[in-house]
Amino acid sequence: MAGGRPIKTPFGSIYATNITPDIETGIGAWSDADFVRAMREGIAPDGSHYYPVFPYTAFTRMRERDLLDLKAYLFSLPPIRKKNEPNALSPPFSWRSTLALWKVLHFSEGEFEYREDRSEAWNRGAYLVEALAHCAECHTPRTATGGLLVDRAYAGSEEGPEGESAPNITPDKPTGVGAWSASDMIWYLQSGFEPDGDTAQGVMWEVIEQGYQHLSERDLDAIAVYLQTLKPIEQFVGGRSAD
Amino acid sequence: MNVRLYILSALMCCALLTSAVRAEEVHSAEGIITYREKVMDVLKYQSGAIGAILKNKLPYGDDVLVHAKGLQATSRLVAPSFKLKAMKDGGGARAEIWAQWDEYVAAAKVLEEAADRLVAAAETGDTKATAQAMRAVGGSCSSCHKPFRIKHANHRH
Repeated sequence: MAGGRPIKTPFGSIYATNITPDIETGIGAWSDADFVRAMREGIAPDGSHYYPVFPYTAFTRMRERDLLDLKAYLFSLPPIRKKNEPNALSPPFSWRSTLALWKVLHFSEGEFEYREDRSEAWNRGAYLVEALAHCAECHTPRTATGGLLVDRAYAGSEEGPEGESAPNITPDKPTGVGAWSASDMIWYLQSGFEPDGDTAQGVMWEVIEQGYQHLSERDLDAIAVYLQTLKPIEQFVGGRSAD
Repeated sequence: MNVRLYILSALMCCALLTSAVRAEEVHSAEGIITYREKVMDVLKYQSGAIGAILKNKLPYGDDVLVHAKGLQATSRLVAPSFKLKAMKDGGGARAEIWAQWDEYVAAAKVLEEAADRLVAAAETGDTKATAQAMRAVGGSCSSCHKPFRIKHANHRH
């Protein structure tokens, strides 16, 4: 949690920041309002804009109660004194002021809205996928300016994190996960094993190992319920079918 | 005359040797790659079978142990099956396997140890412990694939 991991993007590398409660180098001096503003609006306590590699674009959907619980957890961790690394971006991407324009083009602020016409499981899955797990950030192709192509949401991206491609997770059978059952998805997120016995790789394995494996089966089932209702989009990621 | 015969003989020997080497290389590379892909396929099938039982909560607990033992036995073949260097266009093996052989063997050893723990868990009949052990098996696959496998275009992650 002390930061320093480089996140490679098509625009350069951005370094993860220290989010331990260290007063000087971490977020220890942040108020609840500072934390909520950062997560909901992508704005730092000093008023500067965050790069969207910090996925406030998804976290903005989180409920305030969950945000404050998350802050309470982070503040329960031991503080680590470690200065943040400067980002390695070229102009104009290194100019934070341009992010205000980026937000006008690509950012829509607002908490997740419960859909009465959908089941409890669907709503839970939608909340997890769209807000907390921010699946779209990797699994959706982007525009030239780095915004999500929302009409192709979850159809996969050749330019995922750390130079890895992120596959199509819509229920399209030839190119997505349309052939996967709910239990296939749950087992995959629990164990990293795909239906054919192959395994998750790279960043996705880290996400499973450090995240999804700890989710309850109820939450994983909700994710599966939601993903299976996405619009199927045919898109070959990597130039070939997912087989 | 003797000189011409000598040159002709030498050329014929060279031609024969070259063609023999080429034939051997093509043949052995295909055979080596096919074999090691089959070893990997066996691992996938055993993992897929265990996963199918666990994720669908099927009453085939004893079969999990059979597959776990199969996976354990096959895990011992992973490093040896790559001992002979052979690569092909579109294949999954990185040259780093042979350039960093000791690291590769160490990564394969992690799989062997994870497979041992999987068998131990399956012997208890505890599905939760078996699922956790399977995750460790998957982790060993993933951590080895990252430096040593070329990601296939059709690979999901």
